[in-house]
Parts: sequence; structure tokens; C-alpha cells
Amino acid sequence: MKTRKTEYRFLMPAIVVVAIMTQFPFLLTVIFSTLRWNLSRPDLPRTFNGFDNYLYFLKIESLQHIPEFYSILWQTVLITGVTLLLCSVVGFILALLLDHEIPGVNIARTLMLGPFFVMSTASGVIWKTTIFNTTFGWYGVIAKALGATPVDLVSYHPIGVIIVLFTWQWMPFFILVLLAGLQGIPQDLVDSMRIDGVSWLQGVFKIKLPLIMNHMRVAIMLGLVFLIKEFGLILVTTAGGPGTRSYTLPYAVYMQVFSANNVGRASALAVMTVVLTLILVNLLYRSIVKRNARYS
Amino acid sequence: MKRNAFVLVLIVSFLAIGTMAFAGGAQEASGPVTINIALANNPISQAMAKLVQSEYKAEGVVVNVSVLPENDLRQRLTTEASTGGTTYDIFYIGPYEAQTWARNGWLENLEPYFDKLSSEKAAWYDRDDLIKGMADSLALDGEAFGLPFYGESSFIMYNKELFAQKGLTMPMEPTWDQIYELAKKIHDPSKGIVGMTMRGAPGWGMSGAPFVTMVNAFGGRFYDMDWNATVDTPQQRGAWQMYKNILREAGQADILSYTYNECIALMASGNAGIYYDATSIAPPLEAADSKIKGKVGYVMAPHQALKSNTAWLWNWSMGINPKSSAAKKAAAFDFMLWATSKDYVKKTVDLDPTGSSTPPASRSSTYELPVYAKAPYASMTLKTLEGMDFTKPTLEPVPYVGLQYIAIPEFADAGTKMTEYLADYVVDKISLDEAIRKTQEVFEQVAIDGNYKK
Repeated sequence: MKTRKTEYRFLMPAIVVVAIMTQFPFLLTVIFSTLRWNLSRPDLPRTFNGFDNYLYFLKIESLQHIPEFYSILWQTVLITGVTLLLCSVVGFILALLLDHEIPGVNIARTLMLGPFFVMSTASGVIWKTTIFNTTFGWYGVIAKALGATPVDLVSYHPIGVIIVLFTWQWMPFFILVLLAGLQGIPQDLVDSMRIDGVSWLQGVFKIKLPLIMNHMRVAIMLGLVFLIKEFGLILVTTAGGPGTRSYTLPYAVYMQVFSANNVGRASALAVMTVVLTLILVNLLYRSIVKRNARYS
Repeated sequence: MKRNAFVLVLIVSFLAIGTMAFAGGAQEASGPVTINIALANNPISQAMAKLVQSEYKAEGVVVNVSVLPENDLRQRLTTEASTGGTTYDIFYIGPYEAQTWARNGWLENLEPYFDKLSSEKAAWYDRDDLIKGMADSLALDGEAFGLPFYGESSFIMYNKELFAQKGLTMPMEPTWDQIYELAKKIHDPSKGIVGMTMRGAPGWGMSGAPFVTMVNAFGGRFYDMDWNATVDTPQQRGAWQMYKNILREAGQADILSYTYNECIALMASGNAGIYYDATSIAPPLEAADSKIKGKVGYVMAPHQALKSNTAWLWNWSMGINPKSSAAKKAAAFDFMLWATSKDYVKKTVDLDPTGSSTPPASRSSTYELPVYAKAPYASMTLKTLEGMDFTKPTLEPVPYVGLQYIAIPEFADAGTKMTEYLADYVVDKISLDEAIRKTQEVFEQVAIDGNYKK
């Protein structure tokens, strides 16, 4: 009993530091989210207004006038979901390709990882100006050379553009994790697979994929956390536009603070984003834990 | 105020991107008075940053100048002013800030300082020479809170060569209907000719600037005298449709990615017929590397239901931080007089005869200087400037001031939202009804949240 108490006391400083570093800001956000507080209006009093900030986003007055929050939520889910799907499917296929010991595979692996190391704002600017621009960009030049009229993709298909860029940026991460998984499969298992005459498809989907399922889950879970808060790429490419067609929750929070100066509403939106992310991550995490329990 | 600053530091540091410096107000008791000013990184302001070191002489005063990117500057100064910081003694701002800051008590009233001026100094400064619209935009109830350093209005620029080829003439005071018809006639996609270019990128200071003057011209307004939002009116609808029709039927292909930089590039390449934008854009079109140098015509900003005062007004100006010490304030005022004086204007012309570092649109006398008088855009710029009335922006009375914006703190956000819906509507993602309804709701919400509506 006594040793336990000592251990606890040793841990205290670390716990306090971690709690202050991680939980205090969140707690403050929760408090701010209940205030009516506009930074640009110092003449108005800061008052407690309960859940008004949340209701501002959530309240549906009639079915014709559904608040923008829901479309932003849907866009966030759509962008994150489709990107995760593309990243895991294509990432898995590419990881399979890179799992062969052929000459130059290391160069290929390094090149595939390239996009992951480019700053997201830099890659956004590059894609927007040198690729998607209808006058100077490769896309515009190629489309014109083929006799087609280039469509301004950034304005007319903003979500598609963002999904492509997110996938381009985050797929290497998936390849990295999945490749590690594939390389961790024991060689004797692969050998016995061959001896037993397993076809390539069976080998991939019935043996390799189940074996690296945990890697896949981890990649998806981390990818979800990264993607849901991805912000720079949206800012420099579509800037949420046209209209609010490519707003995501973090971008909406940013606009509430830095454009509207509305601390109360921004905090409410931030709290809702955190809650949503926590729920999703928790679901994924549980499925991993459950699976591990079953195997052990 | 201290608690205020503390709380702000906390939110900014956890929600935010970037770092922010809260310098403590280091007050020196004796010795030379140091005044600090941060300027925006545009060419004319940077020219001043250079001139200060070599030309500004005042006994016992040291002027520290730093130059920041426009957005950084705006954000930093807003934080500074709202939290009562004293990092900067002079705030380098625009009329949008000046109006609300003066009301919030974040700027020093300059009238007492003017009253104390000696008659020689007052005659040297010649306050009446400041362009009235510009000075008004920095005043609250007739009392000055800032002095204009340089500014701009808006007008139509057109490619005379393309007009001559099609046998078209541009009226001196065109209506939006005429501009639309002319733009359609010039537009020729097969030859890569764009009829008319305008800012399309959303943002209250981006597409919002030409668009709100268009709303004013069409007789629209954003609020009635009781602060009821009046976006859903036939006048506003007319402006929304006109903006879309011009850009969709005769405008650039990637409408929404065009800021003024892209517009200037397009216009200077000789591939655009008409361009509506700031008067400060004319010099680059007349620069040596422009393909249309000497071929640009200039006429008044288009009107429609409202016959005059349909251009916009912007300036960079200087105001005094009320939290600075009295000695610093006096030094700051003296410095501001120097920077906005006729002498300063003359000095810049002497040092750079092209006039590209001379502050335009602050003083009428600037346009009598030889370098300006012979520029092709000079007379139209002056005519536009003299026709501006910052306080009566619309056909029907409104409870706000401001030409291409409404001078309330919430407009930066509401105006940006409006241009986002406008962009959405221009590329057919939403209908006009939906765009108007959403914008109406935004402005109505602003009136309620901001306690404007009684």
C-alpha cells in the first residue's frame, strides 16, 4: 500500500503537467463556448448565454432552411471518408507492389513517399497554380492541346479536387504502414502458401490482408485524426469555396475566429468537432482492441 | 485590460496558427523619444520606410519603422488596439478600421493637436488640400482620427485598341447596362479575348469591393434605417444578376480564382476589353512592360439607378495609439504631418521621377505636379476622387457609412460570407433565390448579434 502511494506522488508532477497542457485548453474552450463574445465588439458585454452558440449551428427551424452546419458536417465526413477509402485501397495495392524485392525497389519506395514530406500549403499552391490552372497549368495546356475546353476544376469540383490532393498527400503514409505490415509477414508462411498452391488473389485477400488488418486499422485511425483536422491545403486551394462548398469543420472554426472574431461560436464549433473526432476514433480503437482480445 | 490580454493570449495560443508578440510597454523616462510604426508591404509604403531614415528630421525623436505583410499587419494591430498594447505608437490602418476604432476609443482624436498648431505650420500643412472624401473616411462626427497617406478609388479601364477594332466607343459615364453590352461585343473566346474582367475571388476586400459598389449603383442597400436587412430586394437582385451575367457571358474562364493580380496580368496582356478596379491599378497598366501601355482609356465607375458616387474609396492612413505617452503622441503627430504633407509628396517625386513611390489620392495638389498631370489616368482619377461621398453611399438612406463596404466590425465576416454565396451563385452551385436568402439571413443575424437592431 505504501509503495503505491509513493509511486503516485512521483507521478503527480507529470500528471499535472500533462493535464494542464492537454486538458486545460479544452476546458477553456468549453467555457468559452457558452459565452457571447465577439472580439471586434469590445463595447458589447461578454455574457453567459448557455447553449445558444451550439443552437446557432444545430437548430433546425424548418426543413427548407437547414443550417449550414449540417452541410459542412456532411462535407467533412464525405471528404474524410472518401479519402480514407482511397488511401487504404490504393495504398494497399501500392504497398503490395512495393513489397517485391526487385532492383531499384528502394528508390521506388522513397519516391512514393515524396508527397508526404511536402508541406501541405506548398503542395496546395503547386497543384492549384501549376497543375489545375486553366490557362497556365499542365491540365489547361494538355486539355487545350487535345482540343477540349478546360473546366475550372477548383471552382466547379472543389470537393473532388480536395479529395485528390488529400489522397495524394496522405497515401504515402498508408503505404508506409501497410508495407511495414506486409514485410512483417513471416517468410515461411509465404513459402508454405506457395507450396500449398494458393492463387495470388487468395494469397492477397485471404492471407495477407487479414494478417495486416491491425496495421490497416492503425493507419485508418491515425489518418482519420490527421485528415479531419487538415486545414492548410483547403485554405490555399479552394479557400472553402465556392461559397461554403468545400468548408470542413476545422476551416469553419478558423473562419469563426479569424474572420468573424466570434470566440463563443468558434469554441462551440471546435467542441463539436472534437466530440465527433473522439467518437469516431473511439469506435475504431475499440474494434482494434476487440480484435486483439480475440486473437490472444 | 490586463485580464483581457491574458485571456486573448490563451485563446490565440491554443486555437491559433503562428505566434504573436505582446511586447510590454517599455517606457523610457528621458532621452530621445522613440516612436514605432509598422507599415504594410506595398511599394508606396515601403518607399516611405526608406525616406524616413534619410529625410525625417525632428529633434530628440527616433522613428522605428517596420514593414509587415498586409494581413499580418491588420491582425497584429487589431490585437494591439483591442488589448491596449503600446508596441506601436502610430497605427497604419484603413478607413474600415478607422471608423470602428474611433468609436471604440482605440484611436486618438486629432482635433486638439490641430488646434495647437502654429498658424505657419497650419498654413504649411494646408489641411483643406486633403481630398475631402479621404479625410471624411477617417473622421467621426467631423472630427479627424486619422490622416490619409495614400488612397484609391475605382474606375473603368478599357483597351482602346480592341474597342477601335470593333468600332465601339466607351461613354464617359457609362451605366452597367452599357458596360455589359460592350463587354459582350468585345468577348471573343476563339481569339482568347475576354470581354470584361473583374475580381472573382471571394472576400470582402476582394470581389466584395467591386460588387458592393455595383449594389450601390443599382440602388440597393444592406440595411434600412431601422437596421432591417434589405438584401432581398429587386435592386439587389439586379446587381447580383449583372455581376454573374458579365462574368459568365463575357468574363475570364476561371472566374473565382481571379484576384486583382490575375486581372492586371490579363488586362496588361492585351487580351481583355474592359476592367473595373481600383485607380491605383492604372500605373502598372501604363508601365513599360505592359502590352497596352498608352492604349488604355479611363472613364468613371459605372452607374445605374444611383447616378453618382458609385466608385469605391480606400486608403492607408495613420492614427495615434491613445495608450502611448503624451511625448510619444506629440512626436507621432508631428511625424504624421510630415508624412502626409505636400513636401513629402514633392520629395518622392524628386527622388523617383516616375512617380511610382509618390502617394496618390491623398491631396488635390499632387495632381498638379508635372509627373502626375501628364499621366493618362490623372484627370480621371482626380475627377473620381472629388466626386466621392463616404457618408452617403446609397440611393436610399442607410444607417451606415462606407462605399464598398459597411463600416461596422462585423462586415469583414458578413461581407466575406456574401461573396462566398455570390461565388456559389456565379458558378451555378446555388440559385439566386438561395444566395439572396442566405445573405439576407447573414445580415439579419449581424444586426441582431451586434445590438444594432433596437
